[in-house]
Amino acid sequence: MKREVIVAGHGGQGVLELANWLAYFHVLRGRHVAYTPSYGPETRGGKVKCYVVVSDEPIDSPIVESPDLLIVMNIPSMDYLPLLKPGGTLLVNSSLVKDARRRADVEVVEVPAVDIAAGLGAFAPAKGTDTSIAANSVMLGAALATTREAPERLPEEASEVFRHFLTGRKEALIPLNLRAVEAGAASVGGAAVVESA
Amino acid sequence: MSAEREFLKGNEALAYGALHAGLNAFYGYPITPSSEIPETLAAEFGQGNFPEFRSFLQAASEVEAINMVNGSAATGAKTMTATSGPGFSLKQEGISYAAGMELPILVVNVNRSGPGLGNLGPEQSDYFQATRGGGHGGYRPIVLAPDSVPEMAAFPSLGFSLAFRYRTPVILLADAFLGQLKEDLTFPEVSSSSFDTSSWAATGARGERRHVLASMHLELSDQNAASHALHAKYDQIARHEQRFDEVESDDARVVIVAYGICARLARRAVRSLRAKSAPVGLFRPITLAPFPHDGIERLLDRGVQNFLVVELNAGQMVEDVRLAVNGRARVNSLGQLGGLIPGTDELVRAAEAMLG
Repeated sequence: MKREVIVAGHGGQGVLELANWLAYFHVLRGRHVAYTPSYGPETRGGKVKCYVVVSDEPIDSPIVESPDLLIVMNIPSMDYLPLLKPGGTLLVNSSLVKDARRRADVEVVEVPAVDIAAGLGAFAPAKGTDTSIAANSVMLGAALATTREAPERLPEEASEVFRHFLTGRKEALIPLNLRAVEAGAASVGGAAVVESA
Repeated sequence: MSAEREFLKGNEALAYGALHAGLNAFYGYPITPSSEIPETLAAEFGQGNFPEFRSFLQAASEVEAINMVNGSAATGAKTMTATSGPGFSLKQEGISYAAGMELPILVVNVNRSGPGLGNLGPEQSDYFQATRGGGHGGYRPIVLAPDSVPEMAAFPSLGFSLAFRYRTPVILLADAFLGQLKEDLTFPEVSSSSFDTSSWAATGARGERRHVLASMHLELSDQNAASHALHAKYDQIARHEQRFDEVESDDARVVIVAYGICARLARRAVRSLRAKSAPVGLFRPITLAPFPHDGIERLLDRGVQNFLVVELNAGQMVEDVRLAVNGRARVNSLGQLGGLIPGTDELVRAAEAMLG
């Protein structure tokens, strides 16, 4: 098994976190994983793009030139669509991107991540912004569900991923993020992920 | 944290690798893209997980930091600093002094791009500065080049063992890509080795023999003898410490020569070319200095006629490859600048062009 992923969006959407979580999920599954961040000097609003390579074999290059899965969090990141492998999957934040169906040779999975997160009671970090905390977790749930690998193990594994990254003050956010993962998975027809927070 | 699978940035892995290797002291001044090294060490300092880690200080400048490193190393302590481009330049004077005083120091340079302030993207443009000894006086540091996060973790241990064996500065030359890259790794169960420093370290112990560590020799004949002794040591290092790795090079007609992140690109290019039955392999210097001339010699003996040197600069290591090849094969250069990374297709096309 080898899967190459690009996750793209803008600063403030939790793109780096999402890519880290996705990567660590596969570390827990015993795979070789390479994660590469790339971002501009800004924190909020700058372009953010990450590569995640997951493989049962040692990874030669960590650079993703032609992903199997492209996760798009905002409109400018649709620029990466031409890189997506034919037959690959575009997982798109349809709360922001309304015209994602631009290629007939790829599977397009639309997830209204910001709306779903808002429905869970997640708050926007600032009024008038188009982001919401936990929208990235919604996308994580959707991404994990699209692979359809061992869904019965997702609840425990998602929980372990969050326990690894959300420590200290952030620990209080774990239940919300687990609900977001569940909602994201459900939105793409995946099994209910979370039994208990 | 040993034996457990970890998922760390290259810089974090390097910091923990140094701690597992028994790091005693770290002095530095933060600079992107190397700052996670002091950040990680600062967080571990005083926590009790690594009792041998006894001194950590953020200096007021890189110049101050490297001189603290030299002072600490003079007592026989395992001492490291880490920096990037502009900071590496500032440390050159101190590294020259360490070479002259024969101090075992470990200096990490996470190479960023361009001269001056440049950019934070990855480059390998400090190759000349690192391998030639960027300071004055004609010394020869050992330069190690990791190409993965597990090697970022493993090379501080190798670096210290070489630094102490030869009492010489060791440069660990990484790049911004490797510093920020996260990979899975398992720290080996190492018992950090201790080195016998009793014959030279300045420990201030009353009643013991006086040890003088100096790089100044006022008599010409003394300087002549000291310089000859240093260069005899460098010759010995060049004979015994060349390290390299090879991939699919046995029957290769074109050998890509690359280190650091470029070696990872080259692995993919080789795999892609081999899938098309193109006889292309990889030669990866692990010691950039001493340059692995012997490995190149073996490839020439096997009849390799074409070398393609891939690096993130305008062509630096290619000069060492040309020296090693000495006109006996064709040597082409493929470089990329400014923090950008060449595509696999560029490497494949360049190798195919040499296959003819």
